[in-house]
Amino acid sequence: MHEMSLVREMQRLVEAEAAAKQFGQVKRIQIELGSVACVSQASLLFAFDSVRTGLLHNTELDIHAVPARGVCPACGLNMVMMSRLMDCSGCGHLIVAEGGDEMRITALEVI
Amino acid sequence: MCGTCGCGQTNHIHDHHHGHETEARRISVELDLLARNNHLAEHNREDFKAQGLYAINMVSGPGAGKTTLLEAAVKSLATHADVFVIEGDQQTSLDADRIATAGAKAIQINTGAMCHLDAHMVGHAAADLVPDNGSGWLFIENVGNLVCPAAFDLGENKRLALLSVTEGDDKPLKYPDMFASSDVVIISKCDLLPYVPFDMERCLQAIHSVSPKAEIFELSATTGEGMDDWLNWLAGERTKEYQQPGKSAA
Repeated sequence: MHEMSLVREMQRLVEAEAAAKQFGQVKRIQIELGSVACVSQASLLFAFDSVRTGLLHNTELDIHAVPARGVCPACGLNMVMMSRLMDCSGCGHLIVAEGGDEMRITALEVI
Repeated sequence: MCGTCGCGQTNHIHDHHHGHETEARRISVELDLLARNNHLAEHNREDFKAQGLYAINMVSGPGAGKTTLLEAAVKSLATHADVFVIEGDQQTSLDADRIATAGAKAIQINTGAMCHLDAHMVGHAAADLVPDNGSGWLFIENVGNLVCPAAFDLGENKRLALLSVTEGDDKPLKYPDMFASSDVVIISKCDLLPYVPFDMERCLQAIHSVSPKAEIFELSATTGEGMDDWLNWLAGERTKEYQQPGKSAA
């Protein structure tokens, strides 16, 4: 449910950007979302549709998932982590993800 | 057909110049959604340090016993230091009333629709609650929620996750984000262990695998068992923080 506050922050950041870079409408907003950023894509899309207003009124939201990495503490295998915890595909040991908590706007398509 | 340049595509980016005033352009940006919160959290941290406040952000699911633990902690700590408490709940001031009765100065933040506290709310609440020369302990009781508060730094010195034995020993694996971001985990309501199917060894292993560096305490705020170990550890951490030259904690 904190996706609502993230969308409000998105709105605030884009409005500040619009004032600085002189645009009035955003056609598309592209964000990067880490796979362990504790954000549900579905909730974020729903929140975006519910909360956005003004210059985000007709905006499409593109979410790029950024996977976290993890190293198995037992066998050293490198894994792509789509969740905070995964079993090592080599030896089955539990791996905790590193990084993958980014949530940022990377591009805007504006008019 | 594209309404801007009439080129037949409908879904493209106009990074080539056509000479219309209204064509879309692509702007690369780097706007972190948590940057503002993190910035305000750093401000809070500086303010707390300048005042000699040691701040603890308490997180847990609803009903894990945060307020009961706080009541017991306040009774013990308030004998030799000021204790300030920020209570976050969707509604009511019931928790702030309980904490004030225990001997702390408390302020309630009603978050309404919000499912977590953020650094902005906490900064204002702390400014309202703590006098300019106030120092001591600042406990921040977050909204009961094991998911949403994890992403929001409040400027605390320590994040404390609370897990009661009635919730089950698998909670750290089910909600790993919250436990991974915590410095200390308290397993509460241990007086109820004889009555619930809670495997302590399994729970400790789960916490350790998700958050290898976390300090873990087993206690019961109701009987007081284990409380001293936790409070002594906390006092030691606070002393370490204020041992540097300069401003000392009163």
